[in-house]
Amino acid sequence: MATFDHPWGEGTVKSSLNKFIKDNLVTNLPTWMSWVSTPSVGQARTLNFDYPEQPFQPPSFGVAHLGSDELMKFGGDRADGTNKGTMRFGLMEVDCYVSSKNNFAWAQQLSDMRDMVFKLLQQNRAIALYDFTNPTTPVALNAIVRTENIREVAVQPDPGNPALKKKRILVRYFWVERF
Amino acid sequence: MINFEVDYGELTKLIENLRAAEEGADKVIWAQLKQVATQMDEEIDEAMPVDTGRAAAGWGKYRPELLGQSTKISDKPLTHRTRPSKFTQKAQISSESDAIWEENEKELEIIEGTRVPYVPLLNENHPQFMGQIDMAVERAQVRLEGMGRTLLEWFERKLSGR
Repeated sequence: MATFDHPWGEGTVKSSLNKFIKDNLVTNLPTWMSWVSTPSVGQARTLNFDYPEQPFQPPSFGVAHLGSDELMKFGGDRADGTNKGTMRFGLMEVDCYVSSKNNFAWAQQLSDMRDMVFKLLQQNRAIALYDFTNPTTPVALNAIVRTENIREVAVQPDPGNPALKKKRILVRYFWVERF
Repeated sequence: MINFEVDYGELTKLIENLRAAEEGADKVIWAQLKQVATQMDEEIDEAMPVDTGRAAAGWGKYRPELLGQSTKISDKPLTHRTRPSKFTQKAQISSESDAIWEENEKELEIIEGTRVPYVPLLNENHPQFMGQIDMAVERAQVRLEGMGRTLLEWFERKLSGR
């Protein structure tokens, strides 16, 4: 049996979106965020994926995928004349975290982080898909995932972490899953 | 001499079709809206982590039959991100006033939600439930958008008297 390979699946889309954010969001950080990239800080990271179990150090971004569902089937089950396929949509959450502890600038910093996310996602509505069969050398597929309906949603103060300030941004994306 | 002859027959027919379509559209939209809202209510009830069952029972239409059930997933905090708090300690109290389900057929509006104070925290922080209310809302939104396209086609057919 051949090795399982499904480059059009949800896993590919999630990984491609994560790669896009990793390659673009945290490559040109403002000075007040750049300290976390210092190796001596240890585990501190500016970008975390899928709710890490390890404590993280703000300021940082968090990316999580909340699920996906079928949007529509193509007529005759033909997505592109050859393959069967469905149009699917998913929901991605991008969080911005800062600490207000001894930090009078936290509101401005949080606002800047929110703007960084919005600018990146609004400027790039079509994001390239990559085949991650070999995770270390992903190969670009001739396909894209589109984003839309990017919005900030309300957050609740976390009674367990009162100094942790957060912004939540939700992004809908859709792509064609071919079989 | 110039004569203008206006035949109001087609216009009258168009107005009649428009009125019929408008009246029918309200009923169709309301039925579809209720279906989408109910589906969203059920999806959230099913996904909600259950310990005392208050959060599941208290979302949308009040469902006391969900109280007292227990699963392996707890709505008590599980990680460093959701420490025990005064909110979770109140989980024992459940009543119909927890639930929010308001229908306004005239305005074609249904409001659903909950007054259980820790549900927003579950949606933001619970390891298994995180974002599931957002995802259910997104599904409902996508269904409504699809419904809008179908209704537009239906309305156009009605309007042309087909």
